[in-house]
Formats: sequence, structure tokens, C-alpha cells
Amino acid sequence: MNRREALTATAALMGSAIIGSQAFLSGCSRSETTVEGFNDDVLALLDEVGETILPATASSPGAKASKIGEFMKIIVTDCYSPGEQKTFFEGISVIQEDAKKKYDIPFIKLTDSQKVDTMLFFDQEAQKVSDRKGDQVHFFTMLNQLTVWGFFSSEPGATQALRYVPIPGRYEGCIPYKEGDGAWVY
Amino acid sequence: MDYVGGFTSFSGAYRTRGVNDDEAPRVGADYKERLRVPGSWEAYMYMQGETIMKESNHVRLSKDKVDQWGMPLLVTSVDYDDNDEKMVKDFLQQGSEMFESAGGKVLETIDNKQPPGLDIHEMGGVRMGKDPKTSLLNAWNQLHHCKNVFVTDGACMTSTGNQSPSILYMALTARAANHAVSELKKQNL
Repeated sequence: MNRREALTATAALMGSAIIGSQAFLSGCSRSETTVEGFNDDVLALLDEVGETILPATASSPGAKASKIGEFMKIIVTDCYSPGEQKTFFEGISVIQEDAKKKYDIPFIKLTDSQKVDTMLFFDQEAQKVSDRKGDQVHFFTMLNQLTVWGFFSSEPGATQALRYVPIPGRYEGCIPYKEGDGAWVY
Repeated sequence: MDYVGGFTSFSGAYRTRGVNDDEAPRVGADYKERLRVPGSWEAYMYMQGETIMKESNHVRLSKDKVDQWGMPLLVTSVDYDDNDEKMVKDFLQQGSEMFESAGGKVLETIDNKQPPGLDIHEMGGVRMGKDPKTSLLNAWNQLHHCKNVFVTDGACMTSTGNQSPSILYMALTARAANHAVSELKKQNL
């Protein structure tokens, strides 16, 4: 699975540039190679956030199975600018405080439907921000992009949610498509 | 047509991944199911164009910069010109006409204005020729000035054509290797 091509597919899907993609494609490494803040609690939270955005369904596992928190950690550390990293971590704090305020328990302990409601709320906030040109990106947009990019280029995502053939072999111009079958990974 | 040389067109069609819906939420099972299935059909076309050789496209040794072993660095100076611009314009128009007469609708035409060197099939720099004053390689891809060096990739080309050239390079390489071996056997190398 080629993560560069996954990036192009993700950008086409999102209709906008993926944050961190420029650094990713040019292979620059940031001067600090670790970012404080990706402790186990945060990774666990990010796994749950990812699972809420792309949950397990009949067709396939969800983002948690693809260790989405770990993927986000790598991209944010290596490819996000300091400003973008700040927005990302502020977002994590917002999610944690929101769960505490609304439900009085940590986000990871919420019920599935409470988690969905929380993320839907932030999704709507993010949609409003993206409608105004020139505004700073909302942290939900970052989480959404990272989840989609990371999940569909992971092993469970690519082999179960999508269809993966490592060596396509000969060209077949016309094959039947059954409604609901996944797209092919390229 | 107001330009010289020709181009090859490549075309294909595919389904995008995911069904776009700007109104729908970006969270949850329905969202995931929408993202994992094939989306709309799209077709594309791109060109490979023949750039006409000119002396202003050249390689030269740097007058002041050297590498870590003291060898002068190579300066590669190439650019597109008016003929190339006209060819690109013609392709965008011809390609659109081809799609439209096949019943398609052209969503966008793109001239990405990418400088030479950022794509593939670059050629030239160690050109073949009969005269050592105006060329570097003989008919066997051997350096005029150093008979045991052969150059058989795109650098040996004196003109470009518009076809994909890799198989040509493979043929030139096989031919040069064959010649090298026979010269070696005669102890000429």
C-alpha cells in the first residue's frame, strides 16, 4: 500500500489539501523528533476518536483496529507545523473537557452514542469554520483527515474495508460489481 | 498548426473512491460505508510532447562549485519554449474535442507549467554523433574520448520523439554490451 497514493485519494475525497501532506511528500524531518503530549492516555483517546469517526461495521473493523492513535502521533510529530500541532493538542483538551462537562466522565468511558454525539458536534463546528475562507483549521478537520488517511491505508482498512490485490496480473477490462463491494486499493 | 513536432496522448477511465456528500456528517458507520465504495466515473488524458532540440539546452561544468572529491559540479540548463507552449495548448484543445465527440464532458484542462526535469523521459546531454567536436558518443554509444565508457540511457539521444523510450534504451544497451564484449575479445578494450 502506497501511502503517497493513499494521500492523493484522501485529498480527492476530502476536497481539500491534507494538513501535513507537504511535509510528508517532501520527506522533511522536523528538528524535534518527539512531541511531548502523546502519552498512553492521549493515544487511547485518539484510538476512540478514530473508532467513533470510522467505526467497525459489518464490512470491516474500525479505525481502532488500525492503531489510528499511533498513526496520528507519527504524522503530527513529523509533518505538522508547530502551529498545527498546537491546534491539534488544544483540540484534545477540548474533547476531554467537553466530556467532563457534559457527562462528568472521561471521553473514553462514554457510551458509543455519546461519543458519536460529541464528534458530530465538533464536526458541525468544523464545517462552519471551513466555510469561512482564511480561518485557521478546526481540530476536528485534522482528526477527520488523519483517521480517513490512516485507516484506509492500514492493513485492516485496505484489506477488509477496501479490496486489496497486491499483484493485479493481467488487465481485465470488465468485471462484475456487486453493490456494497469495496473499492480497489491502488 | 503553428508548431513543429508531435505528441502522444494517453487516456484512461476509473472510478473514484468514496461517494461525496457535503451535507452528510463526517462521523459514523454510514460515513465509513460511503467512503469505502467506488464513487463516480472519471476519465483523463495526458500528453507526451516532442521538444525540439536546441543548443541553448546544454550541460556544462560549474566554474566555481565542486563536489566532495573536488570534481566540478554539473550545471544542467534546459527550458521549454514557445513551440512547447503552443503544443500544450493544441493538446488541451484536441484532447477536449476527443472527449466531447465521444460524448464526454470536460471538467477541467490543466497546464501545470511544470519545469523540465520533474517528470520522465528526459533526454540529451551526452549525445551521439559522428564528429567529436559536436558529440560525445559514437555509433556504438562509446565515448569518443574514452573507449571503455558506454552511455546507453536517455542521455545519448540527439532528438526526443514523443514515444516512451525505455525499450529503445534497452535495445541500445544490449547492442552496446554486445559490441563491448566483441571488442574485449579482440583486445581493443
